[in-house]
Amino acid sequence: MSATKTDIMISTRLTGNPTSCRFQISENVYEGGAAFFQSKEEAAGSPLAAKIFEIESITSVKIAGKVVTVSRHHPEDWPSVTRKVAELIKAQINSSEPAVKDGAASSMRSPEEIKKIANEVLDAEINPSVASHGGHIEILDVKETTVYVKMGGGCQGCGQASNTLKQGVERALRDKLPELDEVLDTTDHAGGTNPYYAPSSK
Amino acid sequence: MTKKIKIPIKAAKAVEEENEFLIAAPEVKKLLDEKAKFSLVDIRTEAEFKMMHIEGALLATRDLVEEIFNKWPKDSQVVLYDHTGAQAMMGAQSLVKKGFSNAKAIAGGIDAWSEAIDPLIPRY
Repeated sequence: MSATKTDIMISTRLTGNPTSCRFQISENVYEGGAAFFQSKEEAAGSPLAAKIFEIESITSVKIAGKVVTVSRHHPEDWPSVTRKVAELIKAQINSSEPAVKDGAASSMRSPEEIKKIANEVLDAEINPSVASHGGHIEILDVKETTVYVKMGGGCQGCGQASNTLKQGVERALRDKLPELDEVLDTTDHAGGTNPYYAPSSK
Repeated sequence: MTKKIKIPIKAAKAVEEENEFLIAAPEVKKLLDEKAKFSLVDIRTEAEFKMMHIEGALLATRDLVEEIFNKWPKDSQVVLYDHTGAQAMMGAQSLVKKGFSNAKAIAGGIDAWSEAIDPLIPRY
């Protein structure tokens, strides 16, 4: 039953924040939901997270299903980190120990807490600057660790909206909420009575 | 029937057969494995280079670019790459115009490299 899995595929992608990298794995690492750790001490009860924290410069580790997200103090030399993390993930999948132990301390925030913090970030850092372009961004909903935003005012339909979202909003939110999975735009950029850009009818 | 334009990375593979300025990622991997005599030059920003680069690549600083233009033999094999391919292809074109007939760019850039060769170089 415990045959060693050798064909585990792992691909990596930086999140909206260059200090944070998402590992997409072909196998489940942890099936118990999402676990998030912001220190070596918190990770003590969870073998995979504890081992990842032994790598220099790690600030947080999130383990959820087939995804592991690792954040660091700085974005330099990612491959030296991704190779170590990938080895640890493979070893974890082939070990009999769970990646996260039952009742392990996890600093996973509830969707309500995430929404509250995300709103604070928007009000303090984002909306004052997008307001100068007549824009406004609000949090529509938070499901687990995915944030849905709505871009209103001058942002709606603007060709720069996706840049604002990726470079500005997502980065600022991830600074305060490193456990975020995705930041999605729910705006109908072509709708309403006054979108910034009205697509030509073809 | 007009041909549909494909998305960059997939297109890079198709275009590669037709475009004299491009080289496919697996071929560059082969050159590296064979320890072939060629120079791999990363034309992205220094910050991007520091985040990740293909092992063995040189960062295209101003000094290096001047050195290539002024001192390297015109028959040097030079492979450029950028993030997703477009800029490096223009770079290869201008090198060819200056007489470097063996200059090429990696089709799809380091993004295609991550996809096809080394998935532990994070895409971004």
